[in-house]
Amino acid sequence: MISSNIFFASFILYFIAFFLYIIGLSKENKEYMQGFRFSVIAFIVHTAGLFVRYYEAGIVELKAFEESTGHIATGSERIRIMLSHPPFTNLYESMIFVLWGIAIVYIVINRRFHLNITGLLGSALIVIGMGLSNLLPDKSITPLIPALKSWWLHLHVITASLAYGAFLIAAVVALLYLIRENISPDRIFTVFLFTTSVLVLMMVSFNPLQYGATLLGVAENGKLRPAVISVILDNQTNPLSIVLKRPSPLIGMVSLITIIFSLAGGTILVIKKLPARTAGLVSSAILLIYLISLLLSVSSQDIGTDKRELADLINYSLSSAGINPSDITNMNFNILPPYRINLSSFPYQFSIILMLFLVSLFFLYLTIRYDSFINRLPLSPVLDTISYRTILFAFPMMTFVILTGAVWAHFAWGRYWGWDPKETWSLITWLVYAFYLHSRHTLRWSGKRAAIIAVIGFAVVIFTYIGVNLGLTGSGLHVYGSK
Amino acid sequence: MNKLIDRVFDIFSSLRLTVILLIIILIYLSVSTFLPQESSYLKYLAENRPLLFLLLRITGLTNPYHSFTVILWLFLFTFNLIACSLNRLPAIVERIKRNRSPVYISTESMTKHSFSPPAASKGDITEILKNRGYNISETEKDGNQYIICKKGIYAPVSFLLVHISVLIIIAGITVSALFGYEGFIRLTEGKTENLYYREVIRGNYIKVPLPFRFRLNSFSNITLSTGQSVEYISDITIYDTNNELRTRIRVNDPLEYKGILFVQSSYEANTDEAVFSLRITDDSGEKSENIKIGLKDQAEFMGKRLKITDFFENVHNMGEAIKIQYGDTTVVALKNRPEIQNEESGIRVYIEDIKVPYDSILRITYDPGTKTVFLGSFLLLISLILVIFYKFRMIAIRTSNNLEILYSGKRAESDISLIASLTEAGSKEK
Repeated sequence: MISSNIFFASFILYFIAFFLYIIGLSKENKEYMQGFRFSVIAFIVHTAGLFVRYYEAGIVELKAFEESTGHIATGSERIRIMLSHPPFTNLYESMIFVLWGIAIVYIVINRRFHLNITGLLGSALIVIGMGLSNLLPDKSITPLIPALKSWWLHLHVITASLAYGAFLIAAVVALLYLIRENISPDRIFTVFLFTTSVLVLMMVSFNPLQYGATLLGVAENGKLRPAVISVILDNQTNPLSIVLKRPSPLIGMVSLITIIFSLAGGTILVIKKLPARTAGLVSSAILLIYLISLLLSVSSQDIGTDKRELADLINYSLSSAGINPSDITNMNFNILPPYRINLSSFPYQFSIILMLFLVSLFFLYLTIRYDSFINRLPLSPVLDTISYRTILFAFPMMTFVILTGAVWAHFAWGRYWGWDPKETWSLITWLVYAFYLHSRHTLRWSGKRAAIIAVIGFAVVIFTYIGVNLGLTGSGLHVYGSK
Repeated sequence: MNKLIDRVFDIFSSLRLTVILLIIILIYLSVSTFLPQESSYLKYLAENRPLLFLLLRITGLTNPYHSFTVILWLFLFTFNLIACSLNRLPAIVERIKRNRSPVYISTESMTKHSFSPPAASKGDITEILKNRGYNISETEKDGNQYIICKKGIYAPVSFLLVHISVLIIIAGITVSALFGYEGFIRLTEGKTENLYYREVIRGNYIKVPLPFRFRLNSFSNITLSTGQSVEYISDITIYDTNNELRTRIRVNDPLEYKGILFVQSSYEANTDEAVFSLRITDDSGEKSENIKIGLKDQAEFMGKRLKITDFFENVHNMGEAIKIQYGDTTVVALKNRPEIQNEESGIRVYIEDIKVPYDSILRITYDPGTKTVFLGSFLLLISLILVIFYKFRMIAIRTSNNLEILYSGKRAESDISLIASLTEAGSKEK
């Protein structure tokens, strides 16, 4: 797929931009624009990649049309089919697209407010996100399923990724505000350690000893594809696809240890008033050990050839998907064993740990060069205004996302609102930001309180985007790719 | 009495109430997504956990969208919203009156711009601002002569409009909840149906007739060679009292007839009604017979009884298969791979054709509130955009002595820099 290569090229360009921003950090000159320029180039390549992917998806759709109808599409019908499959219909594409939204917002804000630090953090996030998306097992383009064949999908997702990007940048700027306002890095770091624990807990599905499941793949022509079984339940006709998982007690154990250490570290930090530097060193060391042990525990191994092991595997995957084996009337293996696990078997665990590792490095840097970092930030009222104005723009966009979602749901499911977990969480996001705007206007909350709400709001956004798909909530209609 | 009304109004219009209600609603919404969303809290009673059952029953957490408690919170929230909007109304009217007044100016709250234009350019400046949609008036304050330029006089309305549109959405939702209903209809290929299943309480259905009849002419599940479905199409005919309509319903392409929405929801292969065309030969292939047989029907071949006991739509990705009981032996025959078969049975079965009639399941919704909700949402969007872009701005030019420019609002600033660049260019030309 050419588009994947173009995305890789843009990944490298973002990486260069990130380094230029770091170089810019050490320069006193505020007009330093190299990082910004490279970001723009990377963004253009990124956009080109999306268009190429759009074209590739159009070709796939065209082939599917010709196969299913038996005649070749011409004229306006051909154009309609070519445009019908936008480049954001599975998890891999969705990640790339959200990163695109983040890129727009950080580039605009960098330019408008001469704020290189949003460029630094934004490009770092994009580099991590793109690297992770590359680990996802399924990057192929398949013809759209009937439920996604709607023009509302285009509007819905494009605005969603712009809104999410804006909320992210607003939260980043709000965090910078909090740092600027002399909230000691120790305190932020403590909060960070506690958040770590919660994230790791979430990752192992609140049951560290048993879960920490790894997804299974199967090697085909040197590429790894997810191992899937499809089951048909009693009183249902449409088959459900279930990605095979395996419980990994080792990962569960190591996760548990990480949680304990993070909690202990946070507590010691509070009680003993240790400098954040020591705690940062300890916690990044723990996270590094965790990363390495994750890598070691999945050095490619084949499993599932033994019949009993296979049966255990299937039972486990079914139970973690919430399916009672006795309800199944028919079961098919889309890909036959042996199954294989490797790094891409647990993209979520890996991404969260990697992110935490980098954040703890950032705090380490922050505690060492605290003063020079603070001095280079804009004044706190400026940061406050930037955060506020970004949210002010993102809020109508979020409204538009919910509106288009409702119209689409009306046509696809016959009702505009059905309390699907994704719908509910998008409403929660909307209400939180509505509260942010109201507290600013009527309660005159700004500064610290507003910044904290902006950060909390973004945590809700993250949950809406990923948490629901990870299956932390009840099953819903928006679950794609990850289950 | 009036005092009491005032106090009640004060409570309802207080922001503290808004915050409390918002937090309660947020907790309800978030917690409910983690709990199993059925009316299944009865199971807690069965599991002998009456306390948990009572707690969930009273708070309505397992079924928040249909529980009385949650509706109460939402109603309180709505009243709060109405009261708050009413509370703000006088202030908004006051501000618009002030904005409209040609003589109003508040020099204290305005910023003085560093740009001071040449005295001769007074006419040019008012001309430029007029072209940019400003209202121009003149007044005198503290012995100084001012030209006042204003834009976005009705901007305060947009805040009100945001809240009115939220109320319109809530009104629409209320109409939906009171007068709407949901259900599904099950149509079998080639048959006519007018009874549908209407949901009375969550998960419980009763059979009710529609005012017209439906006939499913055919259902097609268009698949690719990989087995992936690309389209589900129900070809239907509606028979009304003096009207006949033939149309197709597809996923994302519903039918609306007499205010009722029909959505392609799912389908089922009606395997009980399947008809199989088989060609059966003996081992040597000399004796051959073609038979048409249904599932669980019996036939005879070479003196032994033959019966199809099972039908599978897809076996190990090798396509459709049937299980046949022939005498004492069992034969599994694949449609696409006839060479894989049990050799001991003494026969070979070739599946020529399988006809499985489909049942198409259409979701039915009658929801008179939908249009109101969409109208409200659209209005909400427009008014939010207005809040951002349509702002009140004022530029005052003091004309006594040298010209001096005062302004309020960020947007006025950009207009002034435009004037600055234009008049500077103009003065250079001269």
